[in-house]
Amino acid sequence: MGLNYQLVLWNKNKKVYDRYILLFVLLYLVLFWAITLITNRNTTLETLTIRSSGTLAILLLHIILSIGPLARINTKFLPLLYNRRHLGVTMFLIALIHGGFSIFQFHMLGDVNPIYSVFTSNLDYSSLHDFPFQVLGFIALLILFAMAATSHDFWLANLSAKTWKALHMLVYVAYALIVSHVFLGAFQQETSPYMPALIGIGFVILVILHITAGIKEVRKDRQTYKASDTDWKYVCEIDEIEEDRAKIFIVDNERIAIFKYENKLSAIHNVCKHQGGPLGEGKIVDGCITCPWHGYQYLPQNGQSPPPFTEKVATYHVKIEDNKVYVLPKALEEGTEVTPAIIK
Amino acid sequence: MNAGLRKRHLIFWILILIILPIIMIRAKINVPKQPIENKTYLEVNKQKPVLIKEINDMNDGLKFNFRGDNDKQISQLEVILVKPLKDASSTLFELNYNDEKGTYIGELSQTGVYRFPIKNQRLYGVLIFDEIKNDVVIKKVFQWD
Repeated sequence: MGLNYQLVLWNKNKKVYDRYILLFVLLYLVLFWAITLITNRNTTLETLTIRSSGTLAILLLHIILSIGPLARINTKFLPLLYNRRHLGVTMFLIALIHGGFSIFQFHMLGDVNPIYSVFTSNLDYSSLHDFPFQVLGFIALLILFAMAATSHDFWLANLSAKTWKALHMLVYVAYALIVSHVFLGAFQQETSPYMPALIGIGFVILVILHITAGIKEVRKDRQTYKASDTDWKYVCEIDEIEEDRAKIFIVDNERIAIFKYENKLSAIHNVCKHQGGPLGEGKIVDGCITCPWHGYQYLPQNGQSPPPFTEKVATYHVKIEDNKVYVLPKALEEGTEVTPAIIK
Repeated sequence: MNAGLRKRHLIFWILILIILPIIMIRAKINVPKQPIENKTYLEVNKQKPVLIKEINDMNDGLKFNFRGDNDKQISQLEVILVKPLKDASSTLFELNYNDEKGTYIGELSQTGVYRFPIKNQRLYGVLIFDEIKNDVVIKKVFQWD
């Protein structure tokens, strides 16, 4: 969370994480080049670059798509989620090298504009064997470009969280396009079964992770109540909430996070204004509810980010009777001050 | 995530789960089944001992050697790619008498020596085809005595 926009938001954590990304990328490329040159000395520089960058971009995309569900399944993966943005931009740059070299190698020597050539050199859309697969890769690259270019809090603030999230959910479209690009392109001449098998395994892992995380969310959503401004709902015993942590309560499929801190209870809407992170899975740090995804903070009693920040979420009334916690499941205006329930 | 976003994630993954396996399986099924003996593997295709006919096309940087186990029967086409082809994805086909793409012979990529088993004693010609651009790269008609 920063007040002023910086070109790249680096902190100590992110710098360490970025060093690991760089190390992984270099290690992969060196290994790929070394193994290829040992097994096939005649491989050209262009082909090596296209293949190494293409396979690395796909591998990174699988890792990126795994981080979200992994963090939902196990909170140990939350640091990866916090640093995912830089990995995404790295993946785009590597995909750009793949796309750029491919266009250079396959389309620069003709007498038409190379981009025009990508779209017109093969129009056999009815054939699976000769399908113009490069078009799929090009469209995926455009999506990744839009995502990488807007991977900054400046765009998040100016596009609005809703538009930004919708744009970044196109990563699933990009993933589908890339898998199709590979299967309808490179794998049409791939004699080894290992590469298609690897992509297939990657797909299965991603599906299992997302479905597992989805099932976990559905289970949480099952116990849902109707919103009401008169009917207090029982949540849990006070002791069931850990100090500086929250209990999540669901009303009309939306989640309320009830935090326990300094012998008090406060309830706010569970969704962070930054990127929709689950506030109820975060904790109180320095007196503020801190989002587990990117560290955005809110004051528990009014759902407002501490000044000078302006983000705010809805709050709810909470009460305690006989050590039992009750919530009035009707959202108040975002940022409304609510007196915390006191634990005696 | 709010309820709307969770629903959108669910829809995306249901679509991916349905569409991608269909594309993967159909794409693999549609790979043309080439005869295994036509594959370009130097380890498999050792050079036949007798050079029966040699045709050079140095303008395109290509040499064609017709080889066999004896001087009467051609059983191997040796293609020497002296300079790289402009098209990275190139496939070698027999040229049939209608000057069209005939039987698949093998793949060509970087410069080097490629050996393919052939059954046709006197090939009318060969055609190098770019599978990505769907375009003829080189068409070569052979002159036989």
